[in-house]
Amino acid sequence: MAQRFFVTIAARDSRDFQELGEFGLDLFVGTAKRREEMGGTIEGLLSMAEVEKLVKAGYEVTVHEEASKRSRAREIISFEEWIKEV
Amino acid sequence: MAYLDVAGINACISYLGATYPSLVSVITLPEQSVQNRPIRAVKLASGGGNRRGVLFIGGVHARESVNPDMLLSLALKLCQAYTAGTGIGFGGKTYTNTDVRLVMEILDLFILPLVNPDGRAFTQSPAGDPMWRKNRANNAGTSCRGVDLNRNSEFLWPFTLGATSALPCDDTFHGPYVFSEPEERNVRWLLNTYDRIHCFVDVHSYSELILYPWGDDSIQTSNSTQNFTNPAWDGLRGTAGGYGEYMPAADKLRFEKTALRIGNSIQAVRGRTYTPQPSFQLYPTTGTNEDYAYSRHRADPDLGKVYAFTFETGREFQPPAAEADWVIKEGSAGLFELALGCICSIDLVGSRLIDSARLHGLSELRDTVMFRSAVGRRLVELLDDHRLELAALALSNPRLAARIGKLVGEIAPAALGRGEISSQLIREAREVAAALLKKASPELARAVREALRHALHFRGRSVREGLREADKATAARKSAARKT
Repeated sequence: MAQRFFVTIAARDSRDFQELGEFGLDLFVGTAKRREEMGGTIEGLLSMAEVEKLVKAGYEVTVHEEASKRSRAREIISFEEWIKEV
Repeated sequence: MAYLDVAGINACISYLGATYPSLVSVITLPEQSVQNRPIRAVKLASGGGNRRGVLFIGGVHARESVNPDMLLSLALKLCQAYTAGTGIGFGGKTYTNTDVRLVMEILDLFILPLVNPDGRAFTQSPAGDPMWRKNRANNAGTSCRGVDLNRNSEFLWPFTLGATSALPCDDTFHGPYVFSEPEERNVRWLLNTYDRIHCFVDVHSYSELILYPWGDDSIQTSNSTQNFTNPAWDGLRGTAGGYGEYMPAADKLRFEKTALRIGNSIQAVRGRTYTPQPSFQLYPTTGTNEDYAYSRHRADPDLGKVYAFTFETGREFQPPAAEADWVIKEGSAGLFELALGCICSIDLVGSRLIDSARLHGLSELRDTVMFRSAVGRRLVELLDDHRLELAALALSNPRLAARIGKLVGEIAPAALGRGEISSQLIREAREVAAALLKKASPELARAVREALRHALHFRGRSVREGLREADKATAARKSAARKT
């Protein structure tokens, strides 16, 4: 699997913002911030190829971190330890 | 604290059932996951009966690791506090033991902590993907796996607006058909089986939001023909096409007020602001759990109304341990506040004496006839503001509860059948109010006196006529006050 990065995508106008949904990307809907007439921003998890595709289409993409930097799902605690801490 | 794995979550559910057998019932859901994992929920309740219900679900999206742990932590803390006779604290937000008793003794609280165990197992496996979102279904004709479980339910399926996709490789793939996924059929089963569930939260991450319907388009309260069941609007939703999804004004107000209360409760934990807003303000969606749960009663009028929310907790999917602890406290405070908000004091006292159909009728009366009257809205507001104290008084004073219940039972036929409210009934209402005033806080006493001022307008009239007279009298009084 290609490396993926946490990014913030900025759209120039509301139409571009709406059309982002058509790229089939892993976008985090909860982070969408619409600005009337000004497009908006949304965060997502993209490969560099996807970032390039968006930039070519006129979007501004800020790359933050590689996915593993924010991946903690495998930090597992046993139930016996968990209940001591709750 | 790190995260529980699927086995740890199951161990916690078993522990709750074994340690608190009089408070916790373990519910094995009828369908296993796509990869044959059992899925279980718990019901928390002290005492029996089929009571007004609240359903919290989490772990729908695999990578949103903190929420299943949050739901189990809340269940555990509630059981501990109830058993010990103490209150419950989440950072700077505390609730009294009476609050804990109200939730445990008046409501049936259902918690399904992990809707999608296959997805969670995949995020936690060395061979998996920690950022996986969907379940692990095999999709015919492609190597892309998984269905977005928060796009698979029966709300405007098969339409694909904005953040909903018909393509199996997309992260928001809505599935090959509506309710194609066993994990989602389990959610539907809970809502169908426990038909008194009245409040619902699907807990997700992230963004610090409290979302409420609708997700497909903006809310409008004036044109009931613009609604999701009307095929004339198919293809025009979620666009700038002049469509707005209908919601009764009373429901919109209730969503807004409840979301605000939840936000205030969360803010008290450590100062973070969770923003309340309709889901559509983000991106249009179809097939979400929140819209499905709330829309059911409009699609089928025989079903009860469910006030449904989505929480988006925290600022990342898998926060580090110390931050995860805070997110758990915030989410727990918000969920507990919502449960308290779901308590209906009339339901509490009335359900012992009048049947659920009449209670449902009274709720309808509140949301329609009373909502159209200024005095009616004020009376509902007074009741809403003081419902917890009323419920607490009813809990600790069974005789007073019985008198209020009897009164509600006697008013119900007149209110629902357009009959007249007799002088005798007004007299009884005054006597019950006098008994209530002896036990009430100064704030509740003020509210009772304010409500009593309107009583004389109802004598010999139907509820509708009484409200009209009360509105006229209030308007005349205000006009006279302006002149002087």
